[in-house]
Amino acid sequence: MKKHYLILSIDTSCDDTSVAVTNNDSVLSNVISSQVEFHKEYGGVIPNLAKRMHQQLIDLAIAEALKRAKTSFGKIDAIAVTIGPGLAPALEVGVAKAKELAQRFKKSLIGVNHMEGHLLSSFVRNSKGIGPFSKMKPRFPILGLLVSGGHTQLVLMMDFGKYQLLGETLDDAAGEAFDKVARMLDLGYPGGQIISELAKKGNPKYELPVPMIGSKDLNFSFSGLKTACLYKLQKLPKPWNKQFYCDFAASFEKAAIQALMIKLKRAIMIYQPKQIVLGGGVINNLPLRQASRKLARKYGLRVFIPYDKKLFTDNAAMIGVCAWHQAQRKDFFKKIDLLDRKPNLNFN
Amino acid sequence: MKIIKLKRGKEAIKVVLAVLKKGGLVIYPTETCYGIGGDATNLKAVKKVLEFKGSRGDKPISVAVSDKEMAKKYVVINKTADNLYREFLPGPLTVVSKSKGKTIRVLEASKGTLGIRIPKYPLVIKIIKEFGRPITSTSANTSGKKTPYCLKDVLKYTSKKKLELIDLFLDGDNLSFHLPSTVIDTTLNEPAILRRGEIKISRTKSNSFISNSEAETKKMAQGIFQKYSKLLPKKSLVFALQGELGSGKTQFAKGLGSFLKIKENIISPTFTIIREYPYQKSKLSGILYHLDTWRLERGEELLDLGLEEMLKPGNVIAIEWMQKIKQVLEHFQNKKETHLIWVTIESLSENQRRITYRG
Repeated sequence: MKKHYLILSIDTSCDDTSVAVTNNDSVLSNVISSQVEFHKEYGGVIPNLAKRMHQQLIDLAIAEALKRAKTSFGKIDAIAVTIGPGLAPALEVGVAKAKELAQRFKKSLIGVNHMEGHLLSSFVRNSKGIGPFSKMKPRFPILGLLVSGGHTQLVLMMDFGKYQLLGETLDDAAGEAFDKVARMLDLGYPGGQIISELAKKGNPKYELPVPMIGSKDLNFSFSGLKTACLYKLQKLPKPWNKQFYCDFAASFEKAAIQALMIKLKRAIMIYQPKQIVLGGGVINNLPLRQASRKLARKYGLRVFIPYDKKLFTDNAAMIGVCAWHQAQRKDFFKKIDLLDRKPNLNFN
Repeated sequence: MKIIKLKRGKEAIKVVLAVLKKGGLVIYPTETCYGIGGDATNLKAVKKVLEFKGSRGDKPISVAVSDKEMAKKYVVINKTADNLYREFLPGPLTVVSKSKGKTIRVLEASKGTLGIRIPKYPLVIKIIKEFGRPITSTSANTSGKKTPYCLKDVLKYTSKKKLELIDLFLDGDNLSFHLPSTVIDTTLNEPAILRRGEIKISRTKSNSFISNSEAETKKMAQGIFQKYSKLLPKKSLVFALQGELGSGKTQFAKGLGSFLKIKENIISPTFTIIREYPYQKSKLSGILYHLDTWRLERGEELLDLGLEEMLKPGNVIAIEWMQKIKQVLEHFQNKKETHLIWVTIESLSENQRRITYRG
């Protein structure tokens, strides 16, 4: 394997079009369509519909990622692309583009599991080679808790490429519950963020059931908590004042975090991991990170999170780094024509 | 660029108003950071703001108003927005509503919405009130440069040429560091009122059941599916699910899945919008598509996401939040290969649901 292995990676699993260039496990560029201002004339409006379809954005994002990484297709060693899980028509755009580029420029092609990308996001280093694991080596097994708008999973990592799904949500993802409770409070969309914000000033005085508290497995469920919030709110007389919003947000947040912690704790006890990694957009929530650290400390474990918040939510850099690990174990897609999206892809 | 201290009160107001009326630009303090203000109804002023901000794609620019009354003239304030105004404004929150088109178009987002702020700065509110029109409310830095919290920041990080665009700096001294205002879109997911009889399907029987648990909801879904299953080889079946948040639409979809002997766990499609589950039931095979329009701005987006291709004989489509796509669905109903079943789930109490279907 080359000393410096450059990968151009593409992720179009859901809303964002993201393209990154990575050098081994270091990020050279990580372009995310909703966070970047493409240089074009004012008035060149991209309809929202197309944003989700990625077609209009993908070439711009590729050009921008190469430019920011100060490189070109000639120097790229492999093309990586998310094949799933995600929204099928969105995944298709990225997969088709990756196949086209791999064929045109005669590059190796690597198909990546988006959730494996989130799991490995703490192993991503910055362009100077510094990251959460730069001073400490990974010690397996590592337990991963992945929490986002579309997923809630506990995964055991025996090594790079060796994973076991321990549990996942049976209905709604944790991030979705945040957004839906915000909707019940008439706080608009995306409300998950505002719930976290309000919770900071709130007192968790409303009792809400902690989901799956009695279940013995490692699965999650957030739909029950969502419904409990709905009925609790119906019983609480309006008008609600500002403090009420804060208190209710804090109560919900507490129950949601507790639900995650109960299962994290159970997984630690059963599988005795040596380290813990967190991934996914919901880890933006500070109390969730604090609770995870507090719990891990009790078992003498360290919690690792990505070095940059940009790596929490969907991004292509984590896909590129995941692909580099795959390249080391020669996990290439040989018959480029046959690469297809897998919207239901999962671990195992 | 002239500088005037905020502390000078009435005198400061007078100077600022004179600048705004001429179509000039003022940098003013807010509770988040310094903002750049120009008459939001004056094309010349708005163009200068854009020039100052530099390249920023098609990002919209919010406007600041003095109160809800003024906001009402420029945007449509729905229930959600009204609630946010009452509880959180003035304050560091930008509320996005449908624009009435009375401000300069480039300030709006591509779907015709406009962000409104009411800064928590009494003197600024007073200025806007006297001015009688909204002013732009975007941070007073060139795109990509540091957010300004004091005059020094503005002078240090802005090019000379761009500084020339500014007529006045309303100096409120050093502002404490705050994150930019939270932006909330109130135009998505307006709770549609589900009137009975809204769906016009002539001469179809309607049936009603009471479910007392999630398990019963799943069973009823299987039962309803059974009745229509003989149509499957020749048609696609669409279950249009309506019901409020938490009424059990996903539970119903789980029931459809178990009827089709799908072993995979059927989970909420809210985030990914579409989930697909291939099935094989005796000689029959196809795909169960589970759709959710909750996060879509317009239901028609499902057409671009391949709805029409999903409607192949043998496939089953369960759609949550179908209000947004009702018209599109009714169009497909007239096609021979598609059969629509309208399912309404009403919450009667915490565990009790009334499930009605017709079609």
